[in-house]
Amino acid sequence: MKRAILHIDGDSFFASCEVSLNPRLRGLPVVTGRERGIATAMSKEAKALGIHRGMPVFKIKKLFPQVKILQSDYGTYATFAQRMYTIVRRFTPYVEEYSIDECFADLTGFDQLHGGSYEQMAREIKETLKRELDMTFSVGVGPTKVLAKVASGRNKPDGLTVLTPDLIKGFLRDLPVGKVWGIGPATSIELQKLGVSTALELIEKSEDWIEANLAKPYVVTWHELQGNTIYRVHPEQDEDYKSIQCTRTFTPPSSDKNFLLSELSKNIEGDCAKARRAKLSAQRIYYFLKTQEFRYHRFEIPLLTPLSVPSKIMKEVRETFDAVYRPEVLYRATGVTMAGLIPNEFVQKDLFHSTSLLGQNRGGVEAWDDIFKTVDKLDKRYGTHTVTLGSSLEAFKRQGGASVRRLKIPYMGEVV
Amino acid sequence: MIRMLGLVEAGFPTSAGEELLDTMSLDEYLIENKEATYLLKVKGDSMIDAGIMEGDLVIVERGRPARVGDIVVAEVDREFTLKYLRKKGSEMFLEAANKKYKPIYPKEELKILAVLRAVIRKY
Repeated sequence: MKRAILHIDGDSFFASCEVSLNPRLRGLPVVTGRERGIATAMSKEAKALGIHRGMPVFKIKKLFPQVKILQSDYGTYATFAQRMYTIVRRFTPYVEEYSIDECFADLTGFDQLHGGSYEQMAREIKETLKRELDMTFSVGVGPTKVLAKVASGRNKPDGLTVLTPDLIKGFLRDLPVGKVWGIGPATSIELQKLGVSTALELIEKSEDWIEANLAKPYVVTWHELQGNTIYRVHPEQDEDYKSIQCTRTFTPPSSDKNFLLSELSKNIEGDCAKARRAKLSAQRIYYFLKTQEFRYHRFEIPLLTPLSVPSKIMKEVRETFDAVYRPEVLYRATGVTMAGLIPNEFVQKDLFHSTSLLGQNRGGVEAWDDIFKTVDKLDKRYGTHTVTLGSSLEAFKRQGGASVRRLKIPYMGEVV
Repeated sequence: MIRMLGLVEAGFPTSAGEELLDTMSLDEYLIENKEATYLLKVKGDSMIDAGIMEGDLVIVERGRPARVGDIVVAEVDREFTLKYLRKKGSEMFLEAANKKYKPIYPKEELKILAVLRAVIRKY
């Protein structure tokens, strides 16, 4: 296998966290989501009764009075999620915190430490998670993220499915096309009209056919299903010095556009200060909004002219923000990554002072460079954040002192 | 981070050494495997002779193999219980550190959830 991508999915995650901390719940039908009035997670015993996600609580009470219906405790679930990511990081540094109950990891090359077998490695990760968190996970391994994700979905709960290249075709033959990550019900119906009902039938179509009949993202899905890696695993803790990241979680979560933009502005200032210290400029900017449910919404901005000027980068972010932002969603964190960093002396001074991909004029960048040299001097003399962008002010106002990283330990109640 | 002031003898009174040795983090001192660590509160006096009292917080670690003689958290009748892990012949059982309590012999399999790593008491 050229690449080995792992996908891990916590089985009935919220309900499993509750059971892990309370033995009185073990083996019983448990549902979370009381405060929302709908089931947000069900233990396997509750699933066996026919309770599904989104089922109203009043209905569950009426039909199944024996079910334990609990309030969601997102703080505890987030602590368990952090533990899941950290345990997987013992095996590989390339872990993407995809959501509160899921992560991707790039295992490529690390099999050598586990007897040369990705299956063995995946099994060790799965068993460590089970041993230390006392809950089960469904695990998939494949040459791409899409294949890893469909693999983990195969044997739930507590499954382990490894898709080596020789197994892919047989596996996709049994996979309804609507079960592929990224193919929704509408597209699935569309595809069935075109005579495609399994994932195998989809990959047997030509790339031209896909381009002619489907929207652009499905070309990527098509490649990934064949085993051609397109999607990268995005590690949150990027050790790679070719990129710089600033991210901050805020409480309470917010859907205030101006506040979110000012958080991003502050992230950008942090990134750029680091980049200037290392005398580097970025060729790409990624930013993300992280929702209260731990979903990441990312956007990538390619820069034709490498930059480390925060006001310029902020302008690009502001102009693309509406592609990512949803006013009805509560966000808990923002982050900005500067990637493709190159030393400043390699940044070509463009003859025509021309542009970034988004049509930005580089005019005046040299002047900005001078300004930020002065800002850095002031910060050095009077402490960081002495001078900030106006666009970051809102974020600084709400920050309220330096945050202390506390170790969170789940409380299991009383012991006799 | 907490600054270490040196050793205090519990036997005879001495002047506590005022020399600053180093700083230490309680997290690091008490916890080895962060991801596998959990907290519980002690109820009752069944472990009193092991120096564990009602109201103490205990730090336990999951996934660590329990050895005979360890203090463990086991699941008995849908409750957590903190007891010594003992063995008679080939049979494992739980023993309190208080004569008032009888040993617990599991009816089926003994389910050990975690091993005791530290006790915290606030005065």
